[in-house]
Amino acid sequence: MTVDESSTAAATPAFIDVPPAFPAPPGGVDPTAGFRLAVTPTTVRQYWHYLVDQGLDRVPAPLLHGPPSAAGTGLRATPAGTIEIDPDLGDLPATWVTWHGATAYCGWLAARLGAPCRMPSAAEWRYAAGGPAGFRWALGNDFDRPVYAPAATGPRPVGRTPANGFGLHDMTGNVFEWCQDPLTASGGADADGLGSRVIKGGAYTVRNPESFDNATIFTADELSAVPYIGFRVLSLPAPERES
Amino acid sequence: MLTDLRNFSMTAFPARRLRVGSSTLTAREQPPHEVHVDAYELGDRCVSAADFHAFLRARPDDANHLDIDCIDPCFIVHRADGFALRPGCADFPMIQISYWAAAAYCNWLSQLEGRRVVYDLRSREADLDAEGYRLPTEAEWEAACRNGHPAELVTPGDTVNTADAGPACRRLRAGETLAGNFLPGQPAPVPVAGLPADAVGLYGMLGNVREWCHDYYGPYGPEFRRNPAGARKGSFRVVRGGSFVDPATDVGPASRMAAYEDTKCEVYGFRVARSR
Repeated sequence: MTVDESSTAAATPAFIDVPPAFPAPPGGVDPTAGFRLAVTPTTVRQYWHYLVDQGLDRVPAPLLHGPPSAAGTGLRATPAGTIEIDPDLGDLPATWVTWHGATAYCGWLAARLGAPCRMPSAAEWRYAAGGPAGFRWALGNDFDRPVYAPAATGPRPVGRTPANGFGLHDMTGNVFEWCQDPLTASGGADADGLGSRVIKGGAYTVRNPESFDNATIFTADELSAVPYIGFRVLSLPAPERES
Repeated sequence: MLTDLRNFSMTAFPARRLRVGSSTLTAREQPPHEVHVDAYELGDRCVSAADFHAFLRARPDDANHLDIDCIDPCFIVHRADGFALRPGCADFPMIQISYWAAAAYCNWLSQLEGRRVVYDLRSREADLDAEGYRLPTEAEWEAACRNGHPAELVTPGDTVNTADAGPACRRLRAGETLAGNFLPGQPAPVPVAGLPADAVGLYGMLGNVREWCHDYYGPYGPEFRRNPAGARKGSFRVVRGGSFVDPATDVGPASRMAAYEDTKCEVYGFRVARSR
């Protein structure tokens, strides 16, 4: 399989500036120095580009991802253990990717862009999702079920619903997005030993408006490979540009 | 052997006529009325995470990700190589499953024993004349519960895992060992047979997890009903027995609640039944 290098722009995420928050945004989130955030969750096409570049389409990598054998979510596992793409599903969010897989993708992208890349923290994610007005859901303070949570049996292509006030798509609904933060048992001995990470934004598998609230925090086993969790990349200015 | 794949056994109940409902709880339990139920068998405890995991490993395509939630807290996660039972979680009740995931499990048990399946998972219909495994009707559930627990309400204490359970019960909760990533001090389930059985040998009927019943939820009427099986249609199902988030004052053999059938939540579990 070869990658069409003429479409490199679509092969890596597009970023948008999320400006510094001053004063602190509503909800008690710490002020942020601003960052760049991918406009959409990482897509199947973008993740496929990375797999091919790294030769990961040819070998199983169960700590990173576990696409199903069935078609429908963009990437498929073949009986031989390789991965194939269904090109017409390239705009779906990349799913079946573990938190470690998302982290590995961020590392690859950072090297490619020459700028630090990682997943957002839960606080960064919440601030970005709320937009300049600090909305409860990405597009406002009313829960718009047809936009955020239409009846669905799988993910939908990214970027098909309106952008929020910062220009970000798909923050609320579609698929959950991995964040940096580990689950900790407050006061417990295993402060970061629970093996789960925060996921944000709700997904087609959940229903209650509260589950989609920008402030709501769920967590999931960090080796989860499921069709309802994806991720988006946060990028910081390249080190040489810092003053 | 099927018995190697499950940790519950079936308890037989005879056909009988009894009074269900209550005039002293909420409007949902009113009016009390007479019903007849045919003979049936009921699982002596809820289906455990280990029980359900055996099904998921054997038939991974029979319960899809719309029917089972693998986000915390949960006893079963889904990794690149499929569904996995988290350590220390085997004996806790299966939670985070929809009504239809419970139905899929029932069908699997039926197929293993060569019984006619009750549920058509595609059309979402049930054939209660089939002899296979199914969810109990709420009348069957209540009849069994009244046998083992004649009192109208639970007495708060260490024998029932309600929100206000005593310290000996709370020590058995999942969060105390971080099982399923429940956190310490939080309300959480206890193992399916972690507390004493009731007078007829059933475990965990009251408290712990609300149990999916067969019936579509609907208001009661005053008239006698023969083998009632719920409202004719709807999307809400009856759940019975209360849970670790419900106070003892809300939990008894007659108390009933409704849940959207696609809901996956850590307070809903189930036990199986079959007609005799």
